[in-house]
Amino acid sequence: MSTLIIGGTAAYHLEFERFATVLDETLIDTPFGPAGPVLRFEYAGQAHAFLSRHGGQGRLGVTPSFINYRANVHAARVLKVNRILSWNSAGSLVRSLEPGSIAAVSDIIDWTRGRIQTFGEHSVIRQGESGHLFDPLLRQALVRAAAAAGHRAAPGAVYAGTEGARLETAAEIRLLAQAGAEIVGMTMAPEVFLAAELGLPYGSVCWISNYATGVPFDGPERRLFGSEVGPLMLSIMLKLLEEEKAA
Amino acid sequence: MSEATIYIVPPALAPAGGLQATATPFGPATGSGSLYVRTPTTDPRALIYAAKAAGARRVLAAEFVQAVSPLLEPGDLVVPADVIDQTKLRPFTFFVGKGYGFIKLNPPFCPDLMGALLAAARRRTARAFRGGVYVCAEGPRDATPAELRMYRQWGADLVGSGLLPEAYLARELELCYAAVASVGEADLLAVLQEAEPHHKICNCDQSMAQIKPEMGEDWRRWI
Repeated sequence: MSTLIIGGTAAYHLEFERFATVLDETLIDTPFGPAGPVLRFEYAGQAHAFLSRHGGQGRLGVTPSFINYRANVHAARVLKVNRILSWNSAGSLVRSLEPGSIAAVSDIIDWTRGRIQTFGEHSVIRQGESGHLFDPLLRQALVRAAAAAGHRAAPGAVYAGTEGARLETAAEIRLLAQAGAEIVGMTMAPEVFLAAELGLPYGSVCWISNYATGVPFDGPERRLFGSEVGPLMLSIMLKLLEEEKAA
Repeated sequence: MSEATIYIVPPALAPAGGLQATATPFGPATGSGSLYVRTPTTDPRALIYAAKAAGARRVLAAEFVQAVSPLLEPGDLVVPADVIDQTKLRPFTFFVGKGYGFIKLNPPFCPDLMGALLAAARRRTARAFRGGVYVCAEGPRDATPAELRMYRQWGADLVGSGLLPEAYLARELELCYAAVASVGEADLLAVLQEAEPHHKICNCDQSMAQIKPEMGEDWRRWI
Protein backbone atom coordinates (compact mmCIF):
# COMPACT_ATOMS: atom_id res chain seq x y z
CA MET A 1 0.00 0.00 0.00
CA SER A 2 1.47 3.31 -1.08
CA THR A 3 2.15 5.39 2.02
CA LEU A 4 2.97 8.97 2.98
CA ILE A 5 5.21 9.00 6.03
CA ILE A 6 5.04 12.26 8.00
CA GLY A 7 8.08 12.54 10.22
CA GLY A 8 8.00 14.69 13.35
CA THR A 9 10.79 15.27 15.84
CA ALA A 10 14.25 14.89 14.28
CA ALA A 11 12.88 14.32 10.75
CA TYR A 12 14.79 17.49 9.89
CA HIS A 13 18.04 15.70 10.86
CA LEU A 14 17.44 12.62 8.70
CA GLU A 15 19.75 11.65 5.88
CA PHE A 16 16.91 9.86 4.18
CA GLU A 17 18.91 8.40 1.30
CA ARG A 18 20.70 6.19 3.82
CA PHE A 19 17.45 4.31 4.48
CA ALA A 20 15.71 4.02 1.10
CA THR A 21 16.13 4.80 -2.59
CA VAL A 22 15.08 8.41 -3.14
CA LEU A 23 13.35 8.97 -6.50
CA ASP A 24 12.92 12.75 -6.32
CA GLU A 25 12.36 15.69 -3.99
CA THR A 26 9.69 18.27 -4.83
CA LEU A 27 7.29 20.79 -3.34
CA ILE A 28 3.71 19.59 -3.75
CA ASP A 29 1.11 22.17 -4.76
CA THR A 30 -2.16 21.92 -2.85
CA PRO A 31 -5.22 24.19 -2.60
CA PHE A 32 -3.83 25.14 0.82
CA GLY A 33 -0.37 26.13 -0.28
CA PRO A 34 2.81 24.16 -0.92
CA ALA A 35 3.71 21.07 1.11
CA GLY A 36 7.16 19.70 1.58
CA PRO A 37 9.71 19.31 0.22
CA VAL A 38 8.35 15.79 -0.24
CA LEU A 39 10.76 12.93 -0.92
CA ARG A 40 9.36 10.21 -3.13
CA PHE A 41 11.18 6.98 -2.47
CA GLU A 42 11.13 3.30 -3.29
CA TYR A 43 11.13 0.67 -0.57
CA ALA A 44 10.41 -3.06 -0.70
CA GLY A 45 9.61 -2.67 -4.40
CA GLN A 46 6.98 0.04 -4.03
CA ALA A 47 6.80 3.85 -4.31
CA HIS A 48 6.12 5.85 -1.16
CA ALA A 49 6.61 9.42 0.05
CA PHE A 50 8.14 11.17 3.03
CA LEU A 51 7.57 14.62 4.47
CA SER A 52 9.16 16.42 7.43
CA ARG A 53 6.24 17.94 9.32
CA HIS A 54 8.19 20.84 10.83
CA GLY A 55 10.15 21.47 7.64
CA GLY A 56 13.64 22.74 8.26
CA GLN A 57 17.06 21.39 7.35
CA GLY A 58 19.19 20.34 10.28
CA ARG A 59 16.86 22.08 12.73
CA LEU A 60 13.16 22.36 13.48
CA GLY A 61 11.64 24.77 10.94
CA VAL A 62 8.36 25.91 12.49
CA THR A 63 6.72 25.15 15.83
CA PRO A 64 3.47 23.13 15.89
CA SER A 65 1.06 26.10 15.82
CA PHE A 66 2.49 27.24 12.49
CA ILE A 67 2.61 23.95 10.57
CA ASN A 68 0.42 23.93 7.47
CA TYR A 69 -1.44 20.74 8.39
CA ARG A 70 -3.91 21.06 5.55
CA ALA A 71 -1.20 21.33 2.90
CA ASN A 72 0.73 18.41 4.42
CA VAL A 73 -2.28 16.08 4.53
CA HIS A 74 -3.66 17.17 1.19
CA ALA A 75 -0.28 16.31 -0.34
CA ALA A 76 -1.20 12.67 0.31
CA ARG A 77 -4.12 13.08 -2.08
CA VAL A 78 -2.01 14.81 -4.71
CA LEU A 79 0.54 12.01 -4.41
CA LYS A 80 -2.25 9.42 -4.69
CA VAL A 81 -1.04 7.48 -1.66
CA ASN A 82 -3.48 5.28 0.27
CA ARG A 83 -2.61 6.12 3.83
CA ILE A 84 -0.52 8.17 6.25
CA LEU A 85 1.95 6.86 8.81
CA SER A 86 3.24 9.38 11.28
CA TRP A 87 5.63 9.75 14.10
CA ASN A 88 5.11 12.42 16.71
CA SER A 89 6.99 13.11 19.89
CA ALA A 90 5.03 13.32 23.11
CA GLY A 91 5.38 13.90 26.81
CA SER A 92 4.26 11.14 29.13
CA LEU A 93 1.56 11.55 31.77
CA VAL A 94 2.14 8.04 33.07
CA ARG A 95 5.23 7.13 34.96
CA SER A 96 5.46 3.71 33.32
CA LEU A 97 5.81 5.27 29.86
CA GLU A 98 9.38 6.46 30.27
CA PRO A 99 11.29 8.92 28.11
CA GLY A 100 12.89 6.87 25.34
CA SER A 101 9.90 4.54 25.04
CA ILE A 102 7.41 4.28 22.19
CA ALA A 103 3.61 4.16 22.09
CA ALA A 104 1.11 3.52 19.32
CA VAL A 105 -1.80 5.96 19.49
CA SER A 106 -5.36 4.70 19.86
CA ASP A 107 -7.31 7.89 20.52
CA ILE A 108 -6.99 11.65 20.84
CA ILE A 109 -8.34 14.54 22.90
CA ASP A 110 -8.03 17.84 21.04
CA TRP A 111 -6.97 20.68 23.33
CA THR A 112 -5.55 22.90 20.58
CA ARG A 113 -7.10 26.28 19.83
CA GLY A 114 -7.50 28.25 16.65
CA ARG A 115 -6.18 25.63 14.23
CA ILE A 116 -8.17 25.07 11.05
CA GLN A 117 -9.76 21.66 11.51
CA THR A 118 -11.33 20.96 8.12
CA PHE A 119 -10.72 20.98 4.37
CA GLY A 120 -14.21 22.42 4.01
CA GLU A 121 -15.40 22.05 0.44
CA HIS A 122 -12.31 19.96 -0.33
CA SER A 123 -13.36 17.27 2.14
CA VAL A 124 -14.04 13.90 0.63
CA ILE A 125 -15.72 12.36 3.64
CA ARG A 126 -17.74 14.30 6.17
CA GLN A 127 -16.55 13.97 9.75
CA GLY A 128 -18.04 11.01 11.53
CA GLU A 129 -18.41 8.92 8.40
CA SER A 130 -14.94 7.46 8.38
CA GLY A 131 -15.26 4.95 11.21
CA HIS A 132 -12.15 4.60 13.35
CA LEU A 133 -9.95 7.65 13.55
CA PHE A 134 -7.01 5.34 14.34
CA ASP A 135 -7.52 2.07 12.49
CA PRO A 136 -7.03 -0.74 15.06
CA LEU A 137 -5.44 -3.12 12.54
CA LEU A 138 -2.95 -0.48 11.45
CA ARG A 139 -2.16 0.32 15.08
CA GLN A 140 -1.51 -3.37 15.79
CA ALA A 141 0.62 -3.65 12.66
CA LEU A 142 2.71 -0.71 13.90
CA VAL A 143 3.24 -2.41 17.26
CA ARG A 144 4.34 -5.60 15.48
CA ALA A 145 6.62 -3.63 13.17
CA ALA A 146 8.19 -1.93 16.18
CA ALA A 147 8.82 -5.34 17.75
CA ALA A 148 10.35 -6.60 14.49
CA ALA A 149 12.60 -3.52 14.48
CA GLY A 150 13.68 -4.35 18.03
CA HIS A 151 11.53 -1.91 20.02
CA ARG A 152 8.64 -2.54 22.34
CA ALA A 153 5.76 -0.13 21.64
CA ALA A 154 2.94 0.35 24.11
CA PRO A 155 -0.12 -1.04 22.33
CA GLY A 156 -2.39 1.99 22.51
CA ALA A 157 -2.19 5.36 24.21
CA VAL A 158 -4.62 8.26 24.46
CA TYR A 159 -2.95 11.40 23.12
CA ALA A 160 -3.89 14.92 24.18
CA GLY A 161 -3.10 17.57 21.59
CA THR A 162 -2.08 20.95 23.03
CA GLU A 163 -1.42 24.21 21.22
CA GLY A 164 2.18 24.96 22.26
CA ALA A 165 4.77 25.98 21.62
CA ARG A 166 4.90 26.78 25.34
CA LEU A 167 4.97 23.62 27.42
CA GLU A 168 1.88 22.71 29.42
CA THR A 169 1.57 23.75 33.06
CA ALA A 170 1.35 21.20 35.87
CA ALA A 171 -2.31 22.13 36.42
CA GLU A 172 -3.10 21.54 32.76
CA ILE A 173 -1.36 18.16 32.80
CA ARG A 174 -3.32 17.11 35.89
CA LEU A 175 -6.62 17.91 34.22
CA LEU A 176 -5.66 16.15 30.99
CA ALA A 177 -4.65 13.10 33.01
CA GLN A 178 -7.98 13.27 34.82
CA ALA A 179 -9.67 13.35 31.40
CA GLY A 180 -7.93 10.10 30.43
CA ALA A 181 -4.92 11.32 28.46
CA GLU A 182 -1.74 9.26 28.72
CA ILE A 183 0.58 11.24 26.49
CA VAL A 184 0.60 14.85 25.35
CA GLY A 185 1.90 16.44 22.17
CA MET A 186 1.33 19.39 19.86
CA THR A 187 1.25 17.98 16.34
CA MET A 188 -1.39 15.27 15.86
CA ALA A 189 -4.43 17.57 15.92
CA PRO A 190 -5.77 18.43 13.40
CA GLU A 191 -3.56 16.20 11.20
CA VAL A 192 -5.43 13.00 12.04
CA PHE A 193 -8.85 14.67 11.58
CA LEU A 194 -7.81 15.99 8.18
CA ALA A 195 -6.62 12.53 7.12
CA ALA A 196 -10.03 11.15 8.09
CA GLU A 197 -11.72 13.81 5.93
CA LEU A 198 -9.84 12.44 2.95
CA GLY A 199 -10.71 8.86 3.89
CA LEU A 200 -7.06 8.05 4.52
CA PRO A 201 -6.18 5.53 7.26
CA TYR A 202 -3.80 7.19 9.73
CA GLY A 203 -1.43 5.43 12.09
CA SER A 204 0.92 7.04 14.57
CA VAL A 205 3.63 5.89 16.87
CA CYS A 206 4.86 8.39 19.39
CA TRP A 207 8.36 8.82 20.67
CA ILE A 208 8.19 9.60 24.38
CA SER A 209 10.68 12.43 24.70
CA ASN A 210 10.09 13.44 28.32
CA TYR A 211 7.70 13.33 31.23
CA ALA A 212 5.02 16.01 31.04
CA THR A 213 5.15 18.92 33.49
CA GLY A 214 4.63 17.85 37.07
CA VAL A 215 4.73 14.09 36.44
CA PRO A 216 7.08 12.65 39.07
CA PHE A 217 10.20 10.84 37.90
CA ASP A 218 13.37 9.33 39.29
CA GLY A 219 16.84 10.58 38.49
CA PRO A 220 17.79 13.54 36.30
CA GLU A 221 15.28 15.09 33.90
CA ARG A 222 15.47 13.73 30.38
CA ARG A 223 14.32 15.58 27.26
CA LEU A 224 15.16 13.40 24.28
CA PHE A 225 14.89 15.20 20.96
CA GLY A 226 18.23 14.15 19.43
CA SER A 227 19.09 13.11 15.89
CA GLU A 228 18.85 9.41 16.85
CA VAL A 229 15.04 9.70 17.06
CA GLY A 230 14.48 10.03 13.30
CA PRO A 231 16.26 6.83 12.19
CA LEU A 232 14.62 4.86 15.00
CA MET A 233 11.08 5.96 14.18
CA LEU A 234 11.61 5.69 10.43
CA SER A 235 12.93 2.14 10.87
CA ILE A 236 9.61 1.11 12.45
CA MET A 237 7.62 2.47 9.51
CA LEU A 238 9.93 0.93 6.90
CA LYS A 239 9.68 -2.38 8.76
CA LEU A 240 5.91 -2.19 8.45
CA LEU A 241 6.17 -1.61 4.69
CA GLU A 242 8.58 -4.54 4.44
CA GLU A 243 6.39 -6.93 6.47
CA GLU A 244 3.29 -6.01 4.44
CA LYS A 245 5.17 -6.72 1.25
CA ALA A 246 6.29 -10.10 2.58
CA ALA A 247 2.78 -11.07 3.72
CA MET B 1 10.55 50.19 43.60
CA SER B 2 12.90 51.03 40.76
CA GLU B 3 11.76 51.77 37.24
CA ALA B 4 13.00 48.30 36.33
CA THR B 5 9.48 47.21 37.31
CA ILE B 6 6.38 47.72 35.17
CA TYR B 7 2.86 47.34 36.56
CA ILE B 8 -0.07 46.02 34.54
CA VAL B 9 -3.47 46.74 36.06
CA PRO B 10 -7.16 46.53 35.10
CA PRO B 11 -9.02 49.76 34.18
CA ALA B 12 -10.49 50.04 37.71
CA LEU B 13 -6.98 50.67 39.08
CA ALA B 14 -5.96 53.17 36.41
CA PRO B 15 -5.23 56.77 37.42
CA ALA B 16 -8.08 59.17 36.66
CA GLY B 17 -6.24 61.20 34.04
CA GLY B 18 -2.97 61.70 32.24
CA LEU B 19 -2.92 58.37 30.42
CA GLN B 20 -0.63 58.20 27.43
CA ALA B 21 -0.33 55.69 24.62
CA THR B 22 3.04 54.06 23.92
CA ALA B 23 3.28 52.82 20.34
CA THR B 24 4.39 49.22 19.76
CA PRO B 25 4.34 46.95 16.68
CA PHE B 26 1.24 45.37 18.29
CA GLY B 27 -0.75 48.55 18.83
CA PRO B 28 -0.71 51.01 21.72
CA ALA B 29 0.05 50.23 25.35
CA THR B 30 -1.86 52.83 27.33
CA GLY B 31 -0.70 53.93 30.75
CA SER B 32 1.07 56.42 32.91
CA GLY B 33 4.74 56.20 33.83
CA SER B 34 5.59 52.63 34.83
CA LEU B 35 1.92 51.59 34.91
CA TYR B 36 0.04 50.13 31.94
CA VAL B 37 -3.69 49.48 31.76
CA ARG B 38 -5.05 46.18 30.46
CA THR B 39 -8.42 46.50 28.73
CA PRO B 40 -10.34 43.74 26.93
CA THR B 41 -9.19 45.18 23.61
CA THR B 42 -5.51 45.61 24.49
CA ASP B 43 -3.21 43.28 22.59
CA PRO B 44 -1.24 41.54 25.37
CA ARG B 45 1.85 41.65 23.15
CA ALA B 46 1.69 45.46 23.21
CA LEU B 47 1.86 45.52 27.03
CA ILE B 48 4.77 43.10 27.30
CA TYR B 49 6.62 44.61 24.36
CA ALA B 50 6.26 48.09 25.87
CA ALA B 51 7.51 46.82 29.24
CA LYS B 52 10.58 45.23 27.63
CA ALA B 53 11.23 48.28 25.43
CA ALA B 54 11.07 50.49 28.55
CA GLY B 55 13.99 48.50 29.97
CA ALA B 56 11.96 46.66 32.62
CA ARG B 57 13.23 43.44 34.11
CA ARG B 58 10.07 42.70 36.07
CA VAL B 59 6.35 42.90 35.45
CA LEU B 60 3.88 42.85 38.32
CA ALA B 61 0.26 42.39 37.32
CA ALA B 62 -3.08 42.67 39.08
CA GLU B 63 -6.55 41.44 38.28
CA PHE B 64 -9.99 41.22 39.85
CA VAL B 65 -11.27 37.66 39.49
CA GLN B 66 -14.13 35.31 40.27
CA ALA B 67 -13.71 32.73 43.00
CA VAL B 68 -13.79 29.08 42.01
CA SER B 69 -12.94 27.82 45.48
CA PRO B 70 -15.88 28.27 47.86
CA LEU B 71 -13.36 29.19 50.57
CA LEU B 72 -12.39 32.49 48.94
CA GLU B 73 -14.18 35.61 50.17
CA PRO B 74 -14.39 39.20 48.94
CA GLY B 75 -11.22 41.05 49.84
CA ASP B 76 -9.02 37.94 49.88
CA LEU B 77 -5.72 38.28 48.05
CA VAL B 78 -4.31 35.41 46.01
CA VAL B 79 -0.91 35.07 44.37
CA PRO B 80 -1.59 32.37 41.77
CA ALA B 81 1.09 29.72 41.32
CA ASP B 82 -0.23 27.77 38.35
CA VAL B 83 -2.56 28.34 35.41
CA ILE B 84 -4.98 26.57 33.10
CA ASP B 85 -5.35 28.35 29.78
CA GLN B 86 -8.90 28.52 28.47
CA THR B 87 -8.40 31.53 26.22
CA LYS B 88 -9.35 30.97 22.61
CA LEU B 89 -8.57 33.82 20.28
CA ARG B 90 -5.60 35.72 21.63
CA PRO B 91 -2.20 36.15 20.06
CA PHE B 92 -0.30 33.83 22.39
CA THR B 93 3.29 34.10 21.22
CA PHE B 94 5.78 36.62 19.85
CA PHE B 95 7.37 33.85 17.78
CA VAL B 96 4.90 33.49 14.93
CA GLY B 97 6.16 31.09 12.27
CA LYS B 98 9.46 30.50 14.08
CA GLY B 99 11.15 27.28 15.11
CA TYR B 100 11.51 28.16 18.80
CA GLY B 101 9.34 29.07 21.76
CA PHE B 102 9.05 25.76 23.65
CA ILE B 103 9.30 27.65 26.94
CA LYS B 104 8.93 25.84 30.24
CA LEU B 105 6.16 26.98 32.59
CA ASN B 106 6.96 25.12 35.75
CA PRO B 107 5.96 27.41 37.39
CA PRO B 108 4.41 29.85 34.89
CA PHE B 109 5.10 32.81 37.22
CA CYS B 110 8.44 34.05 38.54
CA PRO B 111 9.00 32.40 41.94
CA ASP B 112 10.90 35.42 43.31
CA LEU B 113 8.11 37.83 42.37
CA MET B 114 5.47 35.44 43.74
CA GLY B 115 7.28 35.51 47.08
CA ALA B 116 7.54 39.31 47.07
CA LEU B 117 3.86 39.74 46.21
CA LEU B 118 2.79 37.29 48.89
CA ALA B 119 4.82 39.13 51.53
CA ALA B 120 3.28 42.45 50.47
CA ALA B 121 -0.21 40.93 50.44
CA ARG B 122 0.32 39.44 53.92
CA ARG B 123 1.22 42.86 55.27
CA ARG B 124 -2.21 44.05 54.14
CA THR B 125 -4.33 41.10 55.24
CA ALA B 126 -4.00 37.75 56.95
CA ARG B 127 -6.22 36.39 54.22
CA ALA B 128 -3.51 36.38 51.56
CA PHE B 129 -2.91 33.05 49.85
CA ARG B 130 -0.34 31.44 47.63
CA GLY B 131 -0.42 28.27 45.57
CA GLY B 132 -3.71 29.01 43.87
CA VAL B 133 -4.52 27.58 40.45
CA TYR B 134 -5.83 30.26 38.10
CA VAL B 135 -8.03 29.58 35.07
CA CYS B 136 -7.71 32.18 32.34
CA ALA B 137 -10.95 32.35 30.36
CA GLU B 138 -11.44 34.34 27.21
CA GLY B 139 -13.72 36.83 28.96
CA PRO B 140 -14.69 39.55 29.42
CA ARG B 141 -17.94 37.82 30.45
CA ASP B 142 -18.11 36.07 33.80
CA ALA B 143 -17.85 32.31 34.01
CA THR B 144 -21.19 30.51 34.28
CA PRO B 145 -22.08 28.43 37.36
CA ALA B 146 -21.57 25.26 35.31
CA GLU B 147 -18.14 26.45 34.18
CA LEU B 148 -17.21 27.28 37.76
CA ARG B 149 -18.10 23.70 38.76
CA MET B 150 -15.99 22.36 35.89
CA TYR B 151 -13.03 24.53 36.88
CA ARG B 152 -13.34 23.32 40.45
CA GLN B 153 -13.23 19.73 39.23
CA TRP B 154 -10.00 20.69 37.43
CA GLY B 155 -8.47 21.76 40.72
CA ALA B 156 -8.71 25.50 40.08
CA ASP B 157 -9.22 28.16 42.75
CA LEU B 158 -10.00 31.30 40.74
CA VAL B 159 -10.93 32.38 37.23
CA GLY B 160 -10.06 35.58 35.42
CA SER B 161 -9.22 36.66 31.91
CA GLY B 162 -6.17 38.91 32.13
CA LEU B 163 -3.01 37.08 33.10
CA LEU B 164 -2.60 34.91 30.00
CA PRO B 165 -0.92 35.05 27.65
CA GLU B 166 0.83 37.95 29.44
CA ALA B 167 2.76 35.48 31.60
CA TYR B 168 4.03 33.46 28.60
CA LEU B 169 4.83 36.54 26.57
CA ALA B 170 6.87 37.96 29.45
CA ARG B 171 8.88 34.75 29.68
CA GLU B 172 9.44 34.75 25.91
CA LEU B 173 11.20 38.08 26.40
CA GLU B 174 12.98 36.90 29.57
CA LEU B 175 11.04 39.17 31.92
CA CYS B 176 10.09 38.15 35.44
CA TYR B 177 6.29 38.18 35.76
CA ALA B 178 3.87 37.44 38.59
CA ALA B 179 0.45 38.62 39.67
CA VAL B 180 -1.83 39.24 42.59
CA ALA B 181 -5.57 38.69 42.26
CA SER B 182 -8.52 39.60 44.37
CA VAL B 183 -12.08 38.48 44.63
CA GLY B 184 -13.95 41.78 44.90
CA GLU B 185 -12.65 45.01 46.40
CA ALA B 186 -8.99 45.36 47.35
CA ASP B 187 -6.20 47.89 46.87
CA LEU B 188 -4.21 45.73 44.49
CA LEU B 189 -2.11 48.59 43.20
CA ALA B 190 -0.77 49.16 46.71
CA VAL B 191 0.18 45.47 46.92
CA LEU B 192 2.08 45.73 43.65
CA GLN B 193 3.86 48.90 44.73
CA GLU B 194 4.77 47.54 48.15
CA ALA B 195 6.27 44.33 46.79
CA GLU B 196 10.04 44.20 47.27
CA PRO B 197 11.42 41.60 44.94
CA HIS B 198 14.94 40.30 45.41
CA HIS B 199 16.62 37.93 43.07
CA LYS B 200 16.96 34.55 44.78
CA ILE B 201 16.20 31.52 42.67
CA CYS B 202 14.51 32.47 39.42
CA ASN B 203 16.10 32.04 36.01
CA CYS B 204 13.46 33.94 34.03
CA ASP B 205 16.22 36.00 32.39
CA GLN B 206 17.68 32.79 30.93
CA SER B 207 14.46 31.39 29.44
CA MET B 208 15.55 31.98 25.85
CA ALA B 209 19.22 31.09 26.35
CA GLN B 210 18.95 28.23 23.84
CA ILE B 211 18.25 30.47 20.86
CA LYS B 212 20.86 33.13 21.58
CA PRO B 213 23.78 31.41 19.82
CA GLU B 214 21.77 31.60 16.60
CA MET B 215 19.46 34.58 17.11
CA GLY B 216 21.71 36.88 19.13
CA GLU B 217 21.14 38.86 22.32
CA ASP B 218 18.86 41.55 20.86
CA TRP B 219 15.32 40.48 21.76
CA ARG B 220 13.81 42.61 19.00
CA ARG B 221 15.40 40.25 16.49
CA TRP B 222 13.75 37.20 18.06
CA ILE B 223 10.24 38.42 17.25
